[in-house]
Amino acid sequence: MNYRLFYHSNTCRKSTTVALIAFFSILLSVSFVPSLVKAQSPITARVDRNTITIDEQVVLNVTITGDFLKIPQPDLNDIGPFIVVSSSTSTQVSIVNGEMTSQSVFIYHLQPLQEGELEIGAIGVNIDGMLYQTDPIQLEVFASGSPLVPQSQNSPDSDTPPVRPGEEFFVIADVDNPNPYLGQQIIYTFRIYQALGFPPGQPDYTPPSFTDFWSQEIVAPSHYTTELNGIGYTVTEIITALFPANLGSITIEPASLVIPGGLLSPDIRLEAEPVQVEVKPLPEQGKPENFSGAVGHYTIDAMLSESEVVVNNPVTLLVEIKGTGNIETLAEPALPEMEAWRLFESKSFSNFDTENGKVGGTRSFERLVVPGQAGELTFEPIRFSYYDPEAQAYQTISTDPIVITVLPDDSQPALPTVVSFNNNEEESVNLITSDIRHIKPVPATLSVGATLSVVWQTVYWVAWILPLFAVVAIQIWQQRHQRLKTDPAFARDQRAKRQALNTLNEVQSASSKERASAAGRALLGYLSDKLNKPTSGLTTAGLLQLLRESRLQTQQIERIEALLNQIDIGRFAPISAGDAESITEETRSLIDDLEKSFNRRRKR
Amino acid sequence: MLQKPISPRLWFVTLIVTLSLILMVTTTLAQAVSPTEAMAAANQNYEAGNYIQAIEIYERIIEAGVEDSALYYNLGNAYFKEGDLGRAILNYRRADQLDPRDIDISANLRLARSQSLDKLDSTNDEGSINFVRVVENWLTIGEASVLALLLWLLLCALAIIAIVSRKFRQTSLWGMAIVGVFLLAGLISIGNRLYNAHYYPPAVIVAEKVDVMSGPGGADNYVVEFELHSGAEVTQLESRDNWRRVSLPGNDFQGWISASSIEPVTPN
Repeated sequence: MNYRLFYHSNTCRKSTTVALIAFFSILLSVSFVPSLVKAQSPITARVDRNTITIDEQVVLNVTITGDFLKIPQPDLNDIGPFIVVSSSTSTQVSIVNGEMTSQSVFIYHLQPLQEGELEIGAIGVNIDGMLYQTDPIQLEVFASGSPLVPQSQNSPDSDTPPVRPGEEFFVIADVDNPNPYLGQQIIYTFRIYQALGFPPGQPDYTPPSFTDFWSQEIVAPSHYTTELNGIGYTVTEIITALFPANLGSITIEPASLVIPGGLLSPDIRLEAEPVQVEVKPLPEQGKPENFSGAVGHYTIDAMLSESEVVVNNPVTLLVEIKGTGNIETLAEPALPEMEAWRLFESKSFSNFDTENGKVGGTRSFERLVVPGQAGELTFEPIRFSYYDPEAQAYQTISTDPIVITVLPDDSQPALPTVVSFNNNEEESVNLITSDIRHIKPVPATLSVGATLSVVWQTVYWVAWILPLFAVVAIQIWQQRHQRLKTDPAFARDQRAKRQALNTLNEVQSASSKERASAAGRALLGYLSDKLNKPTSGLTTAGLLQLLRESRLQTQQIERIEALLNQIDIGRFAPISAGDAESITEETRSLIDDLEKSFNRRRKR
Repeated sequence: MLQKPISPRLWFVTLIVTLSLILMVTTTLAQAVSPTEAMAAANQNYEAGNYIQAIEIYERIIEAGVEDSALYYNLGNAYFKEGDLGRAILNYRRADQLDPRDIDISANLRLARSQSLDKLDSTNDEGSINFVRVVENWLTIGEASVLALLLWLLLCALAIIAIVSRKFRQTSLWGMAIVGVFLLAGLISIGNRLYNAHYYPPAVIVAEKVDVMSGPGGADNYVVEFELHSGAEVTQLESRDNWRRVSLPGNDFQGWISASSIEPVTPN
């Protein structure tokens, strides 16, 4: 049990005495208000004493109790011949196990305007449109200085016998039905009796463990007053709903309450007696097949989120089971077999309330369902069975059938059109339902390892590279071709060796003199092409000068000069075939060497 | 002439050899069942409504290394009939990768997607090059590679014509420009697909429902950010132990799910 107190006081006009009186009045009123509260009325009023002198003030406490956050103000218009000297308010908010109750105490210091027997009129308050009133309070006002008749602090209980030690507080626990069925709701009530006039402080309630039960505390503690053996008590009830989960004899362990003591008094620990419960099994006779253990009294309802939906689009099915019983453990009722519907997983949630002192509420199951065919579809009734302990019989209830219009899917390909040959009227084919297309036949080949082999991968990448080489090669060839056509010096240079060798080859079978002469033409023609000079008019001396200018190796120039001398001898003097052959070979050799030299020089 | 009795040891050896031969023959026969014969048997099971048996045979054929769009398509159908939407979509996606122009695969994939609980926006392709998208939707990556090679050969041929023929040089250059644009788009498409397949492989949720966590671990350390259901198509971003980081189309939602609840579209 957890109490949180919030105090906020406004006014207070003045003297220290009055403030102290007010302060203790607040404490007293918080403690004693329950003794004056009528069980059903949210507003009560009391005074600190019923006899005062004309120059004294009486403290009027007005208490309003409820579960509202904004406390309504009491109406003091008809209080009679009194003046409100000061007022203050204290509010106490209790939050117990998540349930909130609030109690406001309005404290008024009233100054009587006349002597005699006066009456504080009914004080009203308007709560949610309902007007509640207190009973009038009688007050005797004497003249100033008159001796007063002693008054009890608790005037309504002034004839009660004194409270003996040990009777100030005690607790009692019981159940409303000690012989329930398995799963049937029983009410465990823990009552705290507190003698009037003994403020309890902040008691700490420890509920039993409730092993073998589902348990649920019903509401915040309720308070009322009662009388036992002539002693007035404030009774606080803590009510817990229990649902037996096991058969046989079950003992509910005692609940306990600890009332904290003061500076000089120890804590008071109170413990209720254990409670014995004998749980009997549900009858087998008449048990429906779809019974899933629900016990209590229920109704069932079902609805679809849409009344019209496109085929193959989901709608939400909401099944609600309402009633009293163990709502949290209600199993989802089995849905009927329906070929036209596809069902998906569901989610569930619960809401709880209390009805006639019993726990109940609503268990809701939400599920996506998908209609698989177009047209007017009906969602079949959903059946639910439970055991009703009051009627002592199994009950089966069901929902109404739900009709829904399922439209064809417009996103599907256009429907084919059937032409009637009889009357030439066109009729569109209605899509009754849509399903996946059928499986494919076995292919002619099913290859193992669909990835490309290394050979094909090589071929693929070579096929990317080869054309690039081809383009580059053709480009180079084309440039050379163009230069040969446009650059005569380049053309002579490129053709020089070939023409020289052709000249030598043409005279292979000729006489020695002619071969020597051909060797001379070939060498001079070669050098003329390489140096890009005309052959005519070119003397040996001039040729050698040109060769020196072209920075040919001296050794090669000397070879050329020696060969030209031999050729001149061969041309003008008889030579043997062997000499002619020698001259020819030397010419070939020299041209090869010169070609290499010219190429090297060009590269540089 | 008296015959020498056969010793027990020889009997034992003979028995072992005979059993080994039977085993070898059996194994040979078992191996002799071709993938086409196995698929025919699976199709017969499907036709008879024995979807679980059909699934088992299709899966075995795939395990043997066979990759065929019809095989994946039929397997997807069998899973669909069994109510396993996630694996149905997964196998339709695999079939679609192998044969993206097959209208039956597209139709069944569309139908299966329409029944998926998670409605995901998979058409968030604004800004992408249409040609690239067309190539991706209509050509396999192998076909796109061959097409790119053909375009490259055509480009080179046009280059050669431009080099050697002054008469057709201008025409060839125009042709090269056009072919070059298509080739470039094709190469971007291929590169994009290879990149995504490697770094952001698509995957499908195959568990009935899966909690998407804020980190690679259970509810003890992380919170459930959202839930996905069977058939949801996601992109796999990261892998850590038994957890996979996934994102939904559009990359708005990301989270971690257990590895067992997801299957990559491209089989490992």
